[in-house]
Amino acid sequence: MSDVGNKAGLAIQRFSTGYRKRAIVKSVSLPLLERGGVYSLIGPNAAGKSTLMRALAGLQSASGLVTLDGHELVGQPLAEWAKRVTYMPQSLPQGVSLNVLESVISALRATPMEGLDSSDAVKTYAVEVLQRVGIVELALRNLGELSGGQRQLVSLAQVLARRPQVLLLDEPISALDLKHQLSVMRLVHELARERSMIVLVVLHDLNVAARWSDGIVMLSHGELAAYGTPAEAITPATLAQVYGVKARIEQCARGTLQVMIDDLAEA
Amino acid sequence: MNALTDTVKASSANAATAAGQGRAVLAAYRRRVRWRVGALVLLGALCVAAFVLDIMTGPSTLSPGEVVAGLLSPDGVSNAQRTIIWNVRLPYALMALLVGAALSLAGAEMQAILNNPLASPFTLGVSSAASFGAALAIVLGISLPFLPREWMVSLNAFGFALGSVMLLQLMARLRSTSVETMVLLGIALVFVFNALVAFVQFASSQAALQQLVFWSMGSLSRANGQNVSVLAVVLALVAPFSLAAAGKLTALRLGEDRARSFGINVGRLRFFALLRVSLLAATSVAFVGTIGFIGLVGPHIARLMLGEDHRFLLPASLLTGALVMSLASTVSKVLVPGVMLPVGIVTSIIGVPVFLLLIFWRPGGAS
Repeated sequence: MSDVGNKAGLAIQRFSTGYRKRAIVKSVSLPLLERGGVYSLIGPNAAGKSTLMRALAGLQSASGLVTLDGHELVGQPLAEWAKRVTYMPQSLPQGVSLNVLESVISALRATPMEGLDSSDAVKTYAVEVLQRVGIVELALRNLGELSGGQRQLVSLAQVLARRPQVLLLDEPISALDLKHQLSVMRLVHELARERSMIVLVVLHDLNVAARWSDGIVMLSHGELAAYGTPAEAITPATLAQVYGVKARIEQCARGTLQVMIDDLAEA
Repeated sequence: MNALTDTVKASSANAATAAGQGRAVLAAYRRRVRWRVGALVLLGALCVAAFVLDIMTGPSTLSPGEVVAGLLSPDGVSNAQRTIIWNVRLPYALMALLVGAALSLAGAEMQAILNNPLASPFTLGVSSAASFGAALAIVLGISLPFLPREWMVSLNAFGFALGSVMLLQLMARLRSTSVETMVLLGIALVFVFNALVAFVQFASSQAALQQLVFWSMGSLSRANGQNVSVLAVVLALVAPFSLAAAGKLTALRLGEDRARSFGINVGRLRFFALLRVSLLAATSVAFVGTIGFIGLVGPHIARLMLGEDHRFLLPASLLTGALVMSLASTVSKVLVPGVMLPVGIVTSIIGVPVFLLLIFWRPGGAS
């Protein structure tokens, strides 16, 4: 057990995973991710972000150490991970004849959840979650009738309803307009604090990541390229090295970082 | 669990509106659930009606009253009517209901676990495997000493049907094959077994060939008290397990990774669902031969009516399958006067137009 193993939070050390014989994520170690914190996982395409997320959810075999509040998770059966960690994939399947409320209810009923013993409790709670995500007016619409952005909000509602201690969101705002991007990031931020939940979120928009994150994890070719506060991790040097772009990082009048991409980095 | 309620940040007026909106949604959802329960009851009633109609139909037509009286108090009708009802038509009619229910339930489960609306025992090789098993028994006359020949055909068909699903299962386990690959393997099995059946036919005698062709058409004519009871017992044993898995099957429709992250052991769910499918399909096919489209059309009708909450979809599929099969059985007796067509022919003749209708008429135009 490591020195960080007993503190409250998610500790990830020498964590590796991949497919068959191909290593995708190579020995990633991070400082303790604290409860109540929102952490962004960023990096170029094929950096291994989704693979890292799936492995952190226990969906594929991995090696190394992952401990939540001192409980070791690597090597545990999926059910043990699922009690604590919930993963939101990038998309919902097409052509499913369920309405929005039913889909959240079925997420709640997939495996028993504490405090939701009666059928009424499940339904009432599902509606509360839809209200919190701001899509209660879609409750009785069929999933197939929804726009891409609406589907993404439903997908988020399903995983939030599971009330995990660690929430892994794989590109939760990629299909959303500006207003909904803001409201989703704000909601996730609020819920992380409220439930003292750890959120790890894959984002492509570095400005969004910089504004909402307590910490940034930058991944490149399956290895940790940078870690720290937004100002520490997102720098012209790391962007040049990892993304291959020439960028300026400036602080706007309100103090948040703004990333501006000017050109490709010189080789 | 009220962590969410008490943090709704809104003025009291807005909170009241939100609460009202929540109640309205819940009320609408409950209405929908009641409608679904009602639809299941209606389907059940239609099955009973189709069952009575099936018994009424035949060379000597009976009235609904005679059928009901004959079934409920056999002493109240004439000897001839009693014999027709109990010895001739009842086994057929029951077999039609049971086979329809079993194949349709099997199709619904298969479609859920393979995430493919075209999956059914028929399209994935189970029926073809059963045909091959039956063909071997009929043509080669293999028979265990203590078993009547008729049972040997059924047992052999059962064995091969079970084997084909187990083969799919094995391939899936062997190298964590994707669902798409499993569907392709199933389709490959259809071709393999059909070719093998053709080969057996090519090599068989005239008499055996005739029997084989008749078998492969799918017919209720081999229904009797014994095999109806066997199928009823299998269905009664398997269906409760299907229903118990309904919640997990619904969650699986939200995506495999998501379902697993909710704590569902998808591999295990798939294994036991395929086991149930193989028992239902193999038993049905063993007694009536290959009957297509029920396993495809039954679940489709149920899905269009009730959506994909499997707590409703599975029982509805069971009932729609029973209903369509029962109607097909009636039609098979009246289509050509004086001739009882093999019901497998009728299900395809009815099934194809219904299927095309379903494909082209989709509510809301959803893909």
